[in-house]
Amino acid sequence: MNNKQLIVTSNPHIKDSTSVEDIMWTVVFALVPAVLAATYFFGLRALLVIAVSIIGAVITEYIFLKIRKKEIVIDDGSAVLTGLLLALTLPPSIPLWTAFLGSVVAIGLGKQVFGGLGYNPFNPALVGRAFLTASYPVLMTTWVLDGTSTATPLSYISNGELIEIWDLFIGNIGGSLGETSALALLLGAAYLIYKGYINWRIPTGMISSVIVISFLAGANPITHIFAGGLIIGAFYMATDMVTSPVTKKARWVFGIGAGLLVAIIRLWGGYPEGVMYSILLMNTTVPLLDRYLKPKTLGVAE
Amino acid sequence: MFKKILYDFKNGLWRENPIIVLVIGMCPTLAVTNTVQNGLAMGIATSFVLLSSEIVISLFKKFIPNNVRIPSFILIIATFVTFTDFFLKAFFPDIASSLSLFIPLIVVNCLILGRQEAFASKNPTRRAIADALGMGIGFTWVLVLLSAVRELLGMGSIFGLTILGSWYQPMVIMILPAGAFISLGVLVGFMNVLKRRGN
Amino acid sequence: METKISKLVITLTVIGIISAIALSFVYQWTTPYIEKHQAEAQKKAINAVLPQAEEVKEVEKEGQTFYEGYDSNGNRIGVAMNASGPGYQNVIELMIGVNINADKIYAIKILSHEETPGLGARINGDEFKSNFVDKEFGDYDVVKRQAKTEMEVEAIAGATISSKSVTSIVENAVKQIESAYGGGA
Repeated sequence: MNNKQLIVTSNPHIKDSTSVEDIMWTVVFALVPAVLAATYFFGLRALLVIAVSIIGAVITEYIFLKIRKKEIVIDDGSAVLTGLLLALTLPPSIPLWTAFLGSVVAIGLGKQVFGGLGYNPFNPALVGRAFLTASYPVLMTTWVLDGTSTATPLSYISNGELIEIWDLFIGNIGGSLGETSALALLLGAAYLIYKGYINWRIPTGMISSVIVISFLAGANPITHIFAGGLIIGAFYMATDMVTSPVTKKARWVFGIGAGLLVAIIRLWGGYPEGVMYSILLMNTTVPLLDRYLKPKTLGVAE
Repeated sequence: MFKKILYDFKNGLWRENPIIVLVIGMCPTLAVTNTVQNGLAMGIATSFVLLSSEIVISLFKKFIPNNVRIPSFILIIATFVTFTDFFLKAFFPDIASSLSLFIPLIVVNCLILGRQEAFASKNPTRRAIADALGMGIGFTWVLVLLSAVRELLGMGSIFGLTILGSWYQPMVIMILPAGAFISLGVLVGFMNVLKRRGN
Repeated sequence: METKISKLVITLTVIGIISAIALSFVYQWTTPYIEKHQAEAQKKAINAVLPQAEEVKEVEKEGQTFYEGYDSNGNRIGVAMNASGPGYQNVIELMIGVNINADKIYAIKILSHEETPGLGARINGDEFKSNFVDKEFGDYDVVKRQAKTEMEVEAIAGATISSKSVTSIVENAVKQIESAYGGGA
């Protein structure tokens, strides 16, 4: 007799040959332009920060899996991706130990304590970043470009100064490593959408609600799109498969809600940037969204 | 008899520790454990209120009708809490001002009402004393441990004395409310691992 | 088994009376100490912002309490007052002392605040408070670099909101003192 267990899961029951590895490594690949742009604008130190952050994430993942006596699945790329995404949200001048600590927290507190890949309610990279922002606010808000300390584009905006849209678009501005070059991020994002690995509804909802609110509030919507972490957040973090909703309607709500929060925090809140907190806050709503916004079942009486 | 009393005393220290096992009294646990001084003072103040109200309630339990036992307990607890509040303000003004609102809030600490309801109102006074001492010390040592970790990581000091030198970058999150949740979670998880090993 | 209502009422009343009597004794016992501590804290705060004052008088003007400081010759050298306003997380309370003859602030002292530790909490540090020492009255600008003119206040790095809160509390307090003491004239 074959003793195979009968596995019962909820729908959808569509099988696909795509594996976790494929997706994770493809996203890492899609971020290569952003890494190159960061290295170009901020120098080799950017590469060093990225490397340290990835190493921290991988080591933590390894130690946790070992302690939990699980299969070591470092090569699935998820820890590498978390480390990379975290590094891209850090300021270039960040001390290396801070980047390392951030990725340890991202994997340890953001992912493994909940049970590892697939069980974490919050985006691990953003958990790491939130931890660092609360712990080392001065280190996390010191921006350096060409050896001089500058303000971020968002603080320029709140000071009423003008910046070149083109500089903003290609990334020749102060800011976190990977968030400055919208061009590089969009290249990668286009590839991911083409491959079908990220969903277009969340970024669309998020960015368009930021446009609408900033326009209504009398701010320049274009700078609000390209300045700060909106592009990297909307395309690479809000779309994280583990921490975003699965149904179409829920994805719209998730994206629009995150965009609203970004605009509210930026325009009226105490922080100049709100992408991180808005995505983390919307992460908490995902189970509810998926529960109440599921598609109607066919053939069932109301 | 003595064995029973010892059992009641040891109950709160570890096996039924109010914070890490029963998970009650979370408001002070999370709010005032940012420095060791605050943690210790809160632990002692709570233990004092717990001990005195357990003594009074176990002594007079026969006179308190069942229907009004909760309001009676609260009245008695509130009396001791107000006493503690006045006392600290008069003789330890620094501690009183750093704990400020959290001293009056001991009244709503469910650890205290919980022990009256679960223990003092059903047991003789000597056992109630043992229970209050055990629970009080159990509450205090966890507060002190938690606040030591948070003060060390968040300010590089313990009891206001600098332990980690100027090379240490204080991890500010540890003295914010978020740090309380993180360190309490890690502590409870760690204790559960220890327990599982023990069994 | 039902207990009679009267018994319930009596029990609670008795407990209430005993507790009230006990607490009134405690109150009588501790109040002198508590008041002494409060008075000392108040005096220390006034001394910190009016360092040269030998004698301090409490004056009520326009519904506000001011503390007038006099030197040993009986000349009024300054006025101090309690001021408060919204901070980043909660109300910031401070004591400000000014020289009304020269239209200058002597110093400020933060009495209570709940700003973020390590950031906004630095409003209590000497580096930030020295911004206001010997500052002329006026409308201040909070800047994120070294203050260049008399009307600029250097913000704490990463804590602009807390810095602005303190500055606006100071501005309002100065205006109140000016209006009560025929300011500027």
